[in-house]
Amino acid sequence: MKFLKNNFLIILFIIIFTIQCFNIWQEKYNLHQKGYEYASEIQKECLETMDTLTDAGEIARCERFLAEDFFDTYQKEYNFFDNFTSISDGIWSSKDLLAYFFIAISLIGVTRIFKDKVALYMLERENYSKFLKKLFCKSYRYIWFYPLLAIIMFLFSLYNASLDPVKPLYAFDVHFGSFIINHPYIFMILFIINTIIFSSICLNIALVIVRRQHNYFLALIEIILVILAIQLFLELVVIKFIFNNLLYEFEKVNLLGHFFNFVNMPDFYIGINSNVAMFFLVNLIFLLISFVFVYFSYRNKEKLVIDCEKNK
Amino acid sequence: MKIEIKNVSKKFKNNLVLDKVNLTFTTGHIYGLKGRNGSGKSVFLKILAGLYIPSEGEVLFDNKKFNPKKEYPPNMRALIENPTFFANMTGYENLKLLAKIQGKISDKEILEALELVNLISEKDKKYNKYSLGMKQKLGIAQVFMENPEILILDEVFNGLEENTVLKLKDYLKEIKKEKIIIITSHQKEDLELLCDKIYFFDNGVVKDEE
Repeated sequence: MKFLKNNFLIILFIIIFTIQCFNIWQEKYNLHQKGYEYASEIQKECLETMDTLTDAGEIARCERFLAEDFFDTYQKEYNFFDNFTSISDGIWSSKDLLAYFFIAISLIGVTRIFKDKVALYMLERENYSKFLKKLFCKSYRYIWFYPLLAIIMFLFSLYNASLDPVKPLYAFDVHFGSFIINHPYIFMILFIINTIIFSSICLNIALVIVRRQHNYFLALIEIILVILAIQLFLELVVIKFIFNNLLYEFEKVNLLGHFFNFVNMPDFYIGINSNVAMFFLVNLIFLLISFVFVYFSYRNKEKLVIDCEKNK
Repeated sequence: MKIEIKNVSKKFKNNLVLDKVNLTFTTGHIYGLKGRNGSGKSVFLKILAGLYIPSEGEVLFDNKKFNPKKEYPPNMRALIENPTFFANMTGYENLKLLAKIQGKISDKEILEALELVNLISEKDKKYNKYSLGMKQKLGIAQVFMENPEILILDEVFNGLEENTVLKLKDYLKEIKKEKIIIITSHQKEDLELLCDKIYFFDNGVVKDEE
């Protein structure tokens, strides 16, 4: 009961998310089923009229519908990647809001330790590194949030769907690349790892801000502004100026530019010409940088105490 | 237990707040610190409590050098300046949360500490509904509840009613045999009646008054 009370917001969000996933999945599934029924009707009609057909176009059409592997192929078109793309386009696309919601719920209780100055009593009872460990654990307590949402999307996308990459659609190929299309389970694992990296970067940014701004709402506003500033810097300086101008002639290098789109990181957009390792390398560098900022923000115990004491 | 303060200085940017303080505190005594506002008393207490780091010098507990960056003072509890707790929790919940950190005591000791400061009847009230005096009492209860060997009490009697002050004074005299108690107060009489030794802080320099 206490768990439900303490985690009411996040549980409510997950329920809404699941319902939304179900709605998108159901629409797509029904469409596929209708297509299947329609195709069955055409097949039946072809069986009855095939011998009487004279038009070459109609004969070819019926031959396609009467082919032995027609329904097998049709089923394969109800593909995991197809479903996943629909669901993620429908719900994952509001990723900025999702990230801010995730940060907002993770910070509940964290700012109070500083704002209410309880940190001072805590530091009389435990050493600074243990205090920080607890603080970071508290901030990271919802690290499972993004991976859980990803798993919910995977479950809906997998239901009755084909994992066979026999007929990969061009759209998927452009979005994910052939390696991913051929290894859906590896894709799922990498997608989850990527969400953990993204969540950690968001939380590290939040921890850096919270170190100085102890007011919960002001801290949230500052975090949003900092994330927007980071995104602006990456898009204008790193992507547009460095990759699209300075490195324009180096074809293989300038393709990496889109990896630096921080806000889009949870999309797991790799592209057909880029490789997964490079995608993760860039994200891990982001993560490492964020940890360096956290380290420098929290290394001085006395400064933290003085900043807490300033609160009224 | 013995606390030795050796040549401790504290500077904030160019402002020298403590200048080569040398003091020794031993078990069985109540020590008083006197001095006007800004004389360095609170900074000194925060260094003792491991919250501030001395710019120079060292603090030794039982001849062992104390590193405030990595450690917390052994068996010490402090109430320095105003008490501060989670505003949305009750007094009891706040103490329970602090007690959980070391896990040395049970509910019994928490309730005893609340009883000692005459706050037991208000234990289930939210902290943000407490009066200044009640907040002070809760701050004192968090010092006493874990039966520490070293007690730091900064302006401890501020905002308390007479009967609680008397009760606390008696209690401090009763427990001092096994403890080091360091008190600051603006009331000269409080210090003179309670303390075995009083140190006077003046612009970061400590003078032995008695």
